[in-house]
Amino acid sequence: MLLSCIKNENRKLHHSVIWLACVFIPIIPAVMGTGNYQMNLEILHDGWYSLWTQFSLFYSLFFFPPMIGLYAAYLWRLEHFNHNWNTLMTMPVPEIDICLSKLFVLCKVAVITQIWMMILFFLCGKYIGLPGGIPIDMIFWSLRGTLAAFAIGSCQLFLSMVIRSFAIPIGIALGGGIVGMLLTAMNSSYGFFWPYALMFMGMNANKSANVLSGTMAAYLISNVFFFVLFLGIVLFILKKKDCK
Amino acid sequence: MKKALYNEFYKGRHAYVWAIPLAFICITILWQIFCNQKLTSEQLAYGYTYLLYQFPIMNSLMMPLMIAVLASRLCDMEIKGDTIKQLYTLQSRKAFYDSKFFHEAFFLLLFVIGECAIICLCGTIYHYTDNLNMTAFGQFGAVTFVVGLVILMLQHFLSLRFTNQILPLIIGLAGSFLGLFAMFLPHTVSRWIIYSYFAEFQTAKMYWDANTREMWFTPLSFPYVKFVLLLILGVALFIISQKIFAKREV
Repeated sequence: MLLSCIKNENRKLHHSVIWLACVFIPIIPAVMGTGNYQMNLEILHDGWYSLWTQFSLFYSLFFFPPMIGLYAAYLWRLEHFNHNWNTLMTMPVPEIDICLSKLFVLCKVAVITQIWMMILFFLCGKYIGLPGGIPIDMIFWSLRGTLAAFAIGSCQLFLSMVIRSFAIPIGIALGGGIVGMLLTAMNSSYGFFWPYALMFMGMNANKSANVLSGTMAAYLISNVFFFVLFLGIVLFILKKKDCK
Repeated sequence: MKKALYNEFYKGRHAYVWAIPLAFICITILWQIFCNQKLTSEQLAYGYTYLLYQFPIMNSLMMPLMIAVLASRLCDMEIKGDTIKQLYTLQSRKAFYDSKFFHEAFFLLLFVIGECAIICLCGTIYHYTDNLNMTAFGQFGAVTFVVGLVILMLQHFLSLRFTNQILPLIIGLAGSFLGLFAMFLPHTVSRWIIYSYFAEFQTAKMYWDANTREMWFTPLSFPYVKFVLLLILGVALFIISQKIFAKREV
């Protein structure tokens, strides 16, 4: 049943504008981050590491959470239209399958976005003549960021389910990103308690040295906690609440 | 027109649209609480000037997406309810388009007033020792509102034009990105990016000496000609978008 649900969710994304966001948005930090790197070569000496700071800063700080919000809002939008909630809830499909299928598709799009971002990073690095390949550190940071994307995805899936407006959860994601930045600026350990802060902690945004050295376990626990927490809330609401 | 505008407010009375500018105002307050911790006497001496320098940068980041969310929230209710055809039998297309725009502009105005209030409050609470330059303060308020209006025109048109709200929001998100990055680009490039205009009209320029870790500001003359051109562009955009929308078959 879960596989059928995933197939259905994938079919809803066929010819969807969501791919435009997935492809187009990461190009902006790629082009502008590389341009900024080129203009500041006198202070940026660390090659791939310096380019990473320019790439990841705004991308993971402010824009990745709203992008995840956009994906989640799109996945629930169809259910909020017409009487689709009634149709969905009266189908002989367990709530957990509905929930997991949406989450699976959301995570899939997030992973594709991250892969595309890394391809752009490699291409931009090569274009400006950086030697060798992408250092393994950055691939690891990107994977860490993807884990955070799953936790944020779970949170956004919850918000987009309970808020019928398409736009509001996306605004909340931007706000969440900014609050996350302020929290981690106050004290880096505060970030573990705020899902939107996990992304740029994991991505090592604007830093060449690993910011999570020694706290990797806390980071992983935090990601799993938020992922399970919001998934649990979504499931609880689907099981207990009636359609409105 | 007055009646149409009243209707818009009536339709949105339970939509909690006011929560959008309020949420962003709360984020701005949080940002200021964070920035104003442990200020030195030197920092207090350029407190207001720094705020007038910092707020346009924050606006470049937050406002394009906030405006996209605002426009989408108010336009989407007609798209979801499929009410546009019905509304056209009750009011002119122009009145519908205009009243919805002014309704959105009202919330934008609330946000701008909120930001201005935060600047004044910060000065009072944290005891800034410099004087608030009222001309620069007025220019900041006017620029924030006018640039916001021009972006709102674009988002308003897109939100009504496309039944799928993902596209206007992608453009809003891209706008935030472009606005932020444009500040790092040469002026010849950034002047073509409307989303960067919050910072384009900054009233002060910051200088930073990395060796002494000193920061100082010099006032910038306000580009009145550019501001008037922006107003003209805004009006032209509004008329064109209104005409395109009015001609569209529903």
